[in-house]
Amino acid sequence: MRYVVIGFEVHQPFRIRRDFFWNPRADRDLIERYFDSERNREIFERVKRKCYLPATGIILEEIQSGENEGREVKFFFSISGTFVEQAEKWGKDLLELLQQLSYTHKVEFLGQTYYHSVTSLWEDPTEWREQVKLHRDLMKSVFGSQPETFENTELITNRRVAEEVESMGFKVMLMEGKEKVLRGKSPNYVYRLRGGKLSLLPRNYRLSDDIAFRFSSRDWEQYPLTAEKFAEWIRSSTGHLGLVFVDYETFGEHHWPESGILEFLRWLPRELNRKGVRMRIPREISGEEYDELELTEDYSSWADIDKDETSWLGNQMQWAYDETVRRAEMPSKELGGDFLRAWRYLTTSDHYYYMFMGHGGPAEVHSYFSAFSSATEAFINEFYATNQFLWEELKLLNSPGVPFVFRRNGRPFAVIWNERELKEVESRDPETYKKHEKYIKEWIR
Amino acid sequence: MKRVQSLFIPEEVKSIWFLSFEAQGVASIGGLGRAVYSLARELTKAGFRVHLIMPSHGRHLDGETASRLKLRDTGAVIRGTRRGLDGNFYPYSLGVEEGQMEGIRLLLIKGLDYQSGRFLDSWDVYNEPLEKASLVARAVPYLVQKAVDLSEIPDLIHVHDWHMVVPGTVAKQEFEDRRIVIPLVYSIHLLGKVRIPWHYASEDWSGLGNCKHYVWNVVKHRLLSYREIWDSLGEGYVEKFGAFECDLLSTVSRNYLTFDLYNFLGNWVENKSCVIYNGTDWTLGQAKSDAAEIFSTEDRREVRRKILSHLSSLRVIPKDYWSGHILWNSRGPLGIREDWTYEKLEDAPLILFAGRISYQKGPDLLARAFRRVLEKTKANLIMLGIPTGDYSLLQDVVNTLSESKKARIILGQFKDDRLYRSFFYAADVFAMPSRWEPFGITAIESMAVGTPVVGYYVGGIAESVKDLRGGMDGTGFLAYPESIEDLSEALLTAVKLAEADESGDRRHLLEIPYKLNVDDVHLWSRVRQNSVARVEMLFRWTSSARQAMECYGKALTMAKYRAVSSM
Repeated sequence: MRYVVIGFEVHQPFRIRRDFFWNPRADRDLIERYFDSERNREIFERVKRKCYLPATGIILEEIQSGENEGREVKFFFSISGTFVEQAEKWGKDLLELLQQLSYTHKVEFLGQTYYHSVTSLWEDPTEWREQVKLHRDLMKSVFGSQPETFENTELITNRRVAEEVESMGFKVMLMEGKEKVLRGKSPNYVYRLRGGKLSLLPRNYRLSDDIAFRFSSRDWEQYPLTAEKFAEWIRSSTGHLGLVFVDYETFGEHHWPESGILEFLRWLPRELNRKGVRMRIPREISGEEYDELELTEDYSSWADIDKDETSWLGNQMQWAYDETVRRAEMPSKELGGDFLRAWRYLTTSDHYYYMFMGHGGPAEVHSYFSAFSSATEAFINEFYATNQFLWEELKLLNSPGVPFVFRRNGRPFAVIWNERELKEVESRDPETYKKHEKYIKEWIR
Repeated sequence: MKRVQSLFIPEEVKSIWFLSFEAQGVASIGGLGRAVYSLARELTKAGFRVHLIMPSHGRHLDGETASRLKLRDTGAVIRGTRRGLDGNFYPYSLGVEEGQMEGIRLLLIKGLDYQSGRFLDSWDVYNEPLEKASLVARAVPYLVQKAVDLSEIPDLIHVHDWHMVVPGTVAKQEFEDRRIVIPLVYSIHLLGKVRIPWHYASEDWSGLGNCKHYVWNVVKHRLLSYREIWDSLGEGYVEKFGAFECDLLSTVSRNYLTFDLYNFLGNWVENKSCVIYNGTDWTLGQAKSDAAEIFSTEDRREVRRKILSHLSSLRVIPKDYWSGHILWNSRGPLGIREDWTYEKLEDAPLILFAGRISYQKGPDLLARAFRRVLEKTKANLIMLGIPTGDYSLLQDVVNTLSESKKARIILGQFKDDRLYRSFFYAADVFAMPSRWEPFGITAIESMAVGTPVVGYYVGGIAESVKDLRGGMDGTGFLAYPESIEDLSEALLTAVKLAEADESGDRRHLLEIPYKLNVDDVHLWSRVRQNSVARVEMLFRWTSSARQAMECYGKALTMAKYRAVSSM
């Protein structure tokens, strides 16, 4: 391959209190009541020390030395809004460093959902769109750039998602290079969405996982992975352009600094240059489409072995949690302020991910990333928290205890608790509203 | 020969052995044959004695070739056995045909029995190349002895491409066994990255004894055995072995040397490497007279118009069935008629591609870039392709070009070289979208007849083509390697400049996507002149011969160092 696009997912969630059910609190502050600020801060500061600051420093230095030596060193970052919020609270120095990256114009900041949520999986895309807009505004205000490339949470993609992304004005979208989606095509090319203009850039998950998962594995026959070896693999791979996309925490947190991962990051741009591989950023690849790619309604993502949506919505606990979150949407929007903010924190994909019930390799990955000791423990506390949250809201709104559920295409579309919320549904989809009119009358009675 | 202690070393290079698998005029299918023949011819003209040693490929059995090359059997009978990995012995019986071609002395190794002849005399040049090369290596000791007997010892051995590395090394060693140190130059025209176990080269099979000898290793000559070099330093790669064995490594462009050879062989070869560019015999005058003979005009625009309408009488049928089948299935959109002639194209700027339909040559990238060009302007694309058996790539190109109806794919050999050259003369721009390219001879052929080139910034193309954005002496444009968008913009710029030049209409200059400060509406005419001038200056075979002579001088010095290493 002549080109490589390398970038990082940068995200931290607001974790729900680990003992929310077992040890109820009467904190006055809504956010403090539901979310474990102390723990969130502790984790953020640890990762900042081990990964964010040194890795960002290395990238900045390498971009600058590349400029001095006539090499192009380019990376992209997909930074969630919740991460930026935490950085504003506990990592101003980090935020300034990231802003310095933006001044080099060698770094692209991607669009995603502000809350790194799974709302794109919902039948009604309204909240997803709003979160994308919030994130766009955030990127503009913090890094001064309007994102042109979109990375949906955990690369969740299907035809509907891609079409929505195009309609929101993005030119390029990252997706997982899953065989079932590519159907024999190579991940190492840029594709154009069939029937649209959106450029699709599939992730080469083998090359990405070599860094993300296998870098410090001594059982791996390729251990140790050096920058030179990795650059050679990229160079000798067939295709046009490879996307290497990993969690930023890979550099110093998932693989400790002692593993040599930060040195790997430092030397990679030089080795790529030596091998004649050029670094690019996603916004530059629009116009390089090699072929068309047809997407179906089936979801793909970068998670686990199945690489679909079941890591977040694959068991009853996750479905129940999701149902409660969706029931709280309209009340949260009615109440606004901290209620809306807290509710949006609850839509973050991590909360769903903690309830994954698989086994083997994927489960090990989940347990590593989990804020809870088990999926059951996550469910008890998170499900109770969302229910408690909803109960609080309904009490404040003085709403009756029976909701009305709008359905579209056989799936829940919106859940309302009072007549005031009806207008919102009507404005979102008049047709769906009309189909439910006679049942609404009964519900009101 | 000069005596140094007990060794003999040539004082200067006057007589050369060329070892090659191909040579134009004898047996050739591609650029290697053209390069070897042309270089040998120019060196002969410059007063060198050149012996060209190669497998016969059965050409001595063809009456026309045998008489043209004045081939005659030398009476040599070389018999022996090779021992296989299975422990069995395999006899061989070889002969040597001697001939002449424009002053070049030919030595063709042929088979004298079925077991040898079925390899060496196979008409297909690359049928069982390893066996052909191994049997040539078995004939080398005879040729060396004969040269010593007749006092016709070469001053230098020049091996072309990996196939002849083992025969060339055997020759070097055979002379050294007689205390004669002959410099070995190894030219890589295209990396093959062929890897074979040591047994192939060994005394058992190709006849290379595992003796210790001096080879250059980073900063000094070291005493190592052939097997050590083959297995440990060369990792079984024939080309790596050849790089250690030679006194000087040459290739066809500086970029290919820097980005491909150094990456494969290691940077240590830097201090014993050099570049010998390829050349071309094509001239503008010749192209003009071809056009005048066929189309009764020398005017490029008129020739283009006539060529585009001449397509309806051009009949080229692909030789291999599947390539024909793929074209035939899309004959409508590709403008192929029932009798294998082509629908004519409306007059519009012509983009020309000529080369193998292979992944390396990038016809798939050109097809996509052309589709984008058509979104902005009128243009035609003609692909003069050579099928390579990569049918999925051909199908992809056909599918991509079928939509436009502005492209013609012509697969197969032209009966008339003059007509083939006229396509180059008539084109407004020649596209060279190779993903990698050691040299890219078609680019200089195109420039030689005054047709600028748009290609990717890779290998030899980046040296033969000068980007117009870098100065007014440019000969085309170089796009970012493998970038479809950049290639389409470069092609569109070229087409617009050509249209402006042709019509004198400055409005075309406003539609150029590249940031060029163009004031001269006839800039493209200047670029055409630049192209011709650049070929005259750098890419004639006389220049290549001069470069080769410089390389030979360095090789001789290195061989002298090697010889005194033992003292």
